[in-house]
Amino acid sequence: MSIKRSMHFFTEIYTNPWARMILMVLYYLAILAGLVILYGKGNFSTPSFIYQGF
Amino acid sequence: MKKDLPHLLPALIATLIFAGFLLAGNQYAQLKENRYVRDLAPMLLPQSLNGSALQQAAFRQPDLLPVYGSSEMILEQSPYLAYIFFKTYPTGFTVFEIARKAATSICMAEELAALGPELRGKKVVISFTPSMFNVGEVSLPSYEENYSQLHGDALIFNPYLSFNVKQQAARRMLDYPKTLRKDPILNFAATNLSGSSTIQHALYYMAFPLGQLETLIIRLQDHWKVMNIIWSNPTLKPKVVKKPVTIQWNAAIAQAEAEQALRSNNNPYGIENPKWTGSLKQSMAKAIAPSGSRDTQFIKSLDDSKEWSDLEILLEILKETGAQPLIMSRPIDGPIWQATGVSQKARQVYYDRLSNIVVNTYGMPLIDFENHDGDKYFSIDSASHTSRLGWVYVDQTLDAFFHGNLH
Repeated sequence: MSIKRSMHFFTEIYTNPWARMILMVLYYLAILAGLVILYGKGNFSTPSFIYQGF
Repeated sequence: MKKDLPHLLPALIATLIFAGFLLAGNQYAQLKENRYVRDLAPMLLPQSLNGSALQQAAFRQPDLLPVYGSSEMILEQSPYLAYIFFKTYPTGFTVFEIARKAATSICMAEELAALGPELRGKKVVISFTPSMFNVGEVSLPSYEENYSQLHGDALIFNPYLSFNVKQQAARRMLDYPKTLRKDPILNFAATNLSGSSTIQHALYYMAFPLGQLETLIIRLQDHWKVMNIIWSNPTLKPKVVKKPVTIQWNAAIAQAEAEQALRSNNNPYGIENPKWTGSLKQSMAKAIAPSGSRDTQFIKSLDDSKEWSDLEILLEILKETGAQPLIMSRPIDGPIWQATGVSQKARQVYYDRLSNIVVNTYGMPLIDFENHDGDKYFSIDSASHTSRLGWVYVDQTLDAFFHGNLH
């Protein structure tokens, strides 16, 4: 598939309202998934311990 | 699709799909946690302390008794420690311990507040030693070590607790500002909650939804951590081995006492031999004082301790969440304190004050083992860490409480 034909194919998809919608949903899902990967781990570690006797 | 809002609908759909995934994941995690919590119980995992997911799973099981405590629960290793003694469910249950060194009332209050409605109608044991009332307050390093952001958030943004108890807790949490620095939302909310003006309270309520969202995110992280533990332990079994046995308590007491006497036979205080020869022989020699000569100092340290008001926060949370608690203090190690100048009369101040708060003010059951105050072999040191013999008495109490036989 040539570059011109590829461009035409994607333009066709993007101008189709339903295809565009699906692509946009996937785009936002990817953003949310990215946020989970970046910030989802959480940190439950605590500093080193100094025992107070109880 | 409206052309002037090309992103709104897809973003909304993506958010809904994402929320659906999170909800399904949350449900799946809870199922797995419920399935494996019995096998995870004796592992005393850090995540069962710092998170809430495993604690909540423990409360859902009819054969697990959650016990919150501090060093007295874990410091000395012996077969009489509750999580070992009840490991095979001899009378139909075992304990789920949430215990760490220097865990005091405020730390337990945060942990329990994070459980929310899960506590309603459930039995729970709160264990501590009198030694935490002998200091002004828990030190920053100790508090910091035991602090969990999830528990702090869940307390301050708790929809089930009264404004008053959250405000008291916030004021205490602000005494340790370093722990709140990493969390600007919590810091902002706690600062305004602890204030006395209407504007500050309004600011707290404005931050409330954001705080709840933050708590929700940390809860999901907690589930994720627990799931990783479950996935990385393929040997975990959903069914644990249960061996019903009729415990002969008198025989167990006699056996533990004999063992403890043998392990503590080089000194007159019941201190374990290695500890005595290690350092305590010299420090005790320096501390010996005439009976009653340190009573005033002892009573003043009790009076000055912030632990009493922290204990009231903890009891109020237990009351408001509808839990069925047993408050269990270890006895003061009478022989040691007597030798260092604190008389029985002064020690009685501790028992009376504790009883006044727990029983008279809050109407909760209290076991303080006061009758073992003079027992040489109940504790192994001045901080009331429990001996083998002491543990049998504690186990007997836990068994009676679980089966509703505590009188």
